[in-house]
Amino acid sequence: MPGFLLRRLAASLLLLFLVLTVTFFLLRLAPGDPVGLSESSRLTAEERADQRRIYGLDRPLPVQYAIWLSAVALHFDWGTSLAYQRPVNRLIAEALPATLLLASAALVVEYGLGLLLGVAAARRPDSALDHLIRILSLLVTSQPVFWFGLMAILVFALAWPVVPAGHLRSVDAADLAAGRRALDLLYHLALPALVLGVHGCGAIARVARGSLLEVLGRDAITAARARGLSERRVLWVHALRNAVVPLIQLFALSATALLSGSFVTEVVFSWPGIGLLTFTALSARDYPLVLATTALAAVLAIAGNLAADVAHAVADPRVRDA
Amino acid sequence: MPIPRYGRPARFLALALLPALAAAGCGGRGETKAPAAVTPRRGGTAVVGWNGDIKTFNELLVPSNYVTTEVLMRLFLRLVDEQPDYDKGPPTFAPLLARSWEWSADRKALTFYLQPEARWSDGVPVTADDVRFTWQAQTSHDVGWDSANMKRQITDVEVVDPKTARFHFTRAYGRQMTDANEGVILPAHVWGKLPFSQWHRSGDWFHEHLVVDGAFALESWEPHQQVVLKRNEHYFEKGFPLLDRVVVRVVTDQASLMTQLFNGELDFVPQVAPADAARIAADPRLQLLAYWFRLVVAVAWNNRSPLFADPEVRRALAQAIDRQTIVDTLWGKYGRVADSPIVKAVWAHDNALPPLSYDPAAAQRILAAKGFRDSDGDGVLDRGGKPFAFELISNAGNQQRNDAAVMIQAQLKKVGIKVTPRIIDFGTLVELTDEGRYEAAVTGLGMDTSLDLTGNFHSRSIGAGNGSNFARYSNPEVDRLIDQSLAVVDLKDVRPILDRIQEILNRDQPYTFLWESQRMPAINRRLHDVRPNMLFSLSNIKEWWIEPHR
Amino acid sequence: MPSLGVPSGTVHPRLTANRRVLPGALRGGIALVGLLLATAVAAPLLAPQDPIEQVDPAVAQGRPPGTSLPEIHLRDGRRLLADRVARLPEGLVAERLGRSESFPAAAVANLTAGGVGDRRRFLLGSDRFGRDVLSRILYGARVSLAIGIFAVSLALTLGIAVGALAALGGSLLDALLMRLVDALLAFPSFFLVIALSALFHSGTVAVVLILAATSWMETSRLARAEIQSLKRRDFILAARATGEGPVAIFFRHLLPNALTPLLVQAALLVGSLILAESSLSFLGLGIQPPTPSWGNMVADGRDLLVTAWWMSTFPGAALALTVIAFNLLADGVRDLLDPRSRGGLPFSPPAL
Repeated sequence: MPGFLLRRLAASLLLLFLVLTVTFFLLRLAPGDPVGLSESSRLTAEERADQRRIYGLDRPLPVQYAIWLSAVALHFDWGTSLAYQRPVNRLIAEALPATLLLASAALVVEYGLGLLLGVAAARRPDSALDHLIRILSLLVTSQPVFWFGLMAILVFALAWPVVPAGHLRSVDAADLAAGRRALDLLYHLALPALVLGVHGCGAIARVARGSLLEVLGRDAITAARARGLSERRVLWVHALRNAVVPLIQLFALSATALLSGSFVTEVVFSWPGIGLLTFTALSARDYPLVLATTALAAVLAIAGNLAADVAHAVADPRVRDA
Repeated sequence: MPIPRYGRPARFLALALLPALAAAGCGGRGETKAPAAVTPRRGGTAVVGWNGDIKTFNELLVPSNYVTTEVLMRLFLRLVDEQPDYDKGPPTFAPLLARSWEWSADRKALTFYLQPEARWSDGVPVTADDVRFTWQAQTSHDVGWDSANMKRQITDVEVVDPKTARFHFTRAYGRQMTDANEGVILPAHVWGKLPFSQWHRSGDWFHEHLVVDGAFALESWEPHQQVVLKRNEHYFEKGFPLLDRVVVRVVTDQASLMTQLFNGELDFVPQVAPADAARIAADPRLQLLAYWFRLVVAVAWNNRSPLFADPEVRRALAQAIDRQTIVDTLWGKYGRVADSPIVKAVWAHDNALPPLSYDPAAAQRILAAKGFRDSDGDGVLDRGGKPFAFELISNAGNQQRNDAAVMIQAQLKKVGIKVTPRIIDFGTLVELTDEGRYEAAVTGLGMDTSLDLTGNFHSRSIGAGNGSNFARYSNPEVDRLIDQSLAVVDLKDVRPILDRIQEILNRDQPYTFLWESQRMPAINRRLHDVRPNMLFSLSNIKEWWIEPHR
Repeated sequence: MPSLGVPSGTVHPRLTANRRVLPGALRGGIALVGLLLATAVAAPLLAPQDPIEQVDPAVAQGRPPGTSLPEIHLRDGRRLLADRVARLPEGLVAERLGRSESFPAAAVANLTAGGVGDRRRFLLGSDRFGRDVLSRILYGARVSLAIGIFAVSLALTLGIAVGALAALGGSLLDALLMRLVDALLAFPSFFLVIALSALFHSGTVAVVLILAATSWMETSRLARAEIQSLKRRDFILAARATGEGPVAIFFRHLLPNALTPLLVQAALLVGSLILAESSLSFLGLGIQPPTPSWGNMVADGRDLLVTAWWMSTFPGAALALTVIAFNLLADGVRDLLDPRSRGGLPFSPPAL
């Protein structure tokens, strides 16, 4: 097992390096230039040349790559954002907590709700409840996230205003006491987290249902029932423990899904997270910022895959020896 | 459960400045005043929602963008305040940081006398050193400011005495004041401590060492979320601003912006879409303001492309596009057909331009005369074996321009021209148009009150980095006229030259001008005395006042 | 496919068919998908109006569902719409754009005793150019379904090819290919999509290619897993023992058995790629106007949700319905193969 893990870890690091390098050069291939996207009509060649020099864009590309790579590898310095003229590290550090908060809250909703619904459906297969749950879970997954978000805002922030229409905090949140401030945060978190969570719970519910049904049909379960164990014990202790494995794999892969889902949600809700940052960075050709957010997303994806593979290997010994 | 509002205890102050307020409030076409139902009062917080991010506190560091400029103009001051009387004549200016100014006899020197009471928020007086320092920063090659080009005619800024600064120019010309006045004055005693070569690596340093002299000071900043401005107690104009605080909220999505306006979270939104205008006008809690904006949207024809090289073909195309219907569909009463890069609200617009009417039959005749016929019966004109087909690009994120491309496609189809609209992201559009790798594009031409047409129409502005003449229009007579217009000393004399240029542009159609539109800010009626104009949305924010929260 | 907000397909127990009765989900799924495909094919017959043509956009724009406007056909070829028309002895007076316009009788081609003989109906409302939302939805079905099906076919083919190569081609090839797949999966999909859209001309072909390019990786992993487990099975070993060539074994034994979970994933993928196209349009990079696709219709109407909800809601509903249909189909197929506790099975599932 440790050998397997070490090999995969080494491979993951290599992968990360590859992804970043390709991203670096791919970005330059795309048309568009950070210098010259100004809204001023007075920008002339002289200013552009100055800015190119200041941003280090006038050097040959391999030299720029070497400079950037050494800064990242040696000092973990991801450079200065071209659009904001602020350190990228700080921009990411400011944005990350918001995304993590949203993603965790959404995950809790997604898995909590998904498991509950999946179990409820699996307990009484083919019943009216089962069909209802299956239809509902289909319904929520079948819409684009941004659509879901916009509808939610329309209904719950405008038509029947129970929650604010976006942002992380109220305008005057800084003046509130710590307890009230936390409540204000929750208040603003509610809608985006619910939107993301409810949207994803459909898939979880279906997987949970399918997996649970499959496990419930096994001999081991029949045997447990024969031994006289209560249905509740059978379900929650024995069956669920086995049924949870595909969910673990899904969970690991959800990291990337959640990141890209929250990306769209952040734009709709003006949530100051990594998704919003990336989106604006891409449009502005803000190379250092794009590279840093790409690295973040890549790390998440690679880590997610790694975790999924580890979970699979733990569950299926044949794989780890392959 | 609406968002808790900020009930500060109302403080009523008899304002001796009320008559001055009233006087300052008159004049300027295109501004709308909220009815003065209640007396102005001091205090309260207004929340402004904007679809754009405030990038930095040092405007010299980042590519200029409207939101950042507007916010920084509340914290810092320019030397003089351009007045919104652009419908009457060349720009006039009112005192701001400079109490008065005078020209030398040969008009190559401009001396500013600064407000004696002006001081920075740390108590240090604003001096001519600040003015000189600002000029040095603006023109420094280590800073690389976007608009440094405007300062190229200024040879020196002389510190005559602590409250007197003198600008020296290479020659006398019409735009000296505008050029001198561009950019806010920066604090030399604090920001001068950091060498220019380090400015771009120290983005947050300026926020940490922020001293201001404007009507507002910075209370707090949550990056990508909001900026909270509070009244600057050191501001030299006593009695202003009326508001205690202004919150500028960054809202990334237009639909959310509208939602927050309708549910009362926002008091001022600088721009709403025409489709929302009717609903806002009908809502008793809200008010729609409208003023003509200094942007003309046009189709840029790549004049170097074989299809569009002939001005008569371009005129035919202009006549085949039903611009009035486009305006009616996209803007309703909030837009009008444009016929010049200078908008009708500005004094120098040539009102005698012969209109280019919508006449598809005439267009077809001209095209036929130029050899375009449908020789293979496929519904598309062709000449020399090549069909009259082209790609019309426009940038993602601007709904009206994308819509225009779609409508133009439908209209030109009727005369046998095949248009393929293509929506691309802004950065790509800029590169393609700069380098001439496009056929036609829907773009915006922004003309500021200095009326310098070089950027869009002079042949030396062709090519990436040289300017914005992406139509690649090259007409020696226009070049000569533009150069003449820049040499004029008294801007009133520039009128005949600009008229002639507009005539030629109308005849040559390097761009087919589509529309001018109104900016439609929307306010909550508890906010009063809001007078945005073509120059700035937050123009008179120091005079805004808000009713106490009910 | 963890891209643009939709979680990927699911983990499937791998089994062979249990053909007792077609489960309800499958029947529902087949029926719905069939209905959608039929509608898409029959769009030219069903659509009341042309989806692209703009007839008097200034008057027709933004009309709520159920609007019906009189349509004036002029002899010079123009067609105008009006809010109301009234017949006068000398001709016609029409109210449009807040003004009254009169037309002499000679100029109007479709004059009747009461007004004009034609009306333009907007059953589901009109969009910002006065085009009929219903017609655009019907034509949009063609685009959205075509994109989904083509992109998935491409992704499936590529995924199976790579997955099979990895599973059958020896451990070095396997490691190489799977690392490549991992690398591509590690790229944040939104970045890839935007970068690719910027590099290629956006358009239907580009959208199909981009969607396929960002989703074949999951398929290849699944294909690889399936084939890997299948290749050790007795019946494969038997086939090799009898001397069948590897190509024959692949196409006759491995592929058909591996195909079923792959098809389930494919069905799910169609739904999620159709959704992804709409997210692309949300970012401005999807199908170019004026061609209607459900995705760009939803994106188009999103700024007007508060005032003209029908522009986005109906295409959004069509989107949801289609995705539901394909998901139902996938569910149905999986139900068909799913080992239930009741009923015997020829093979028992490997312990997870």
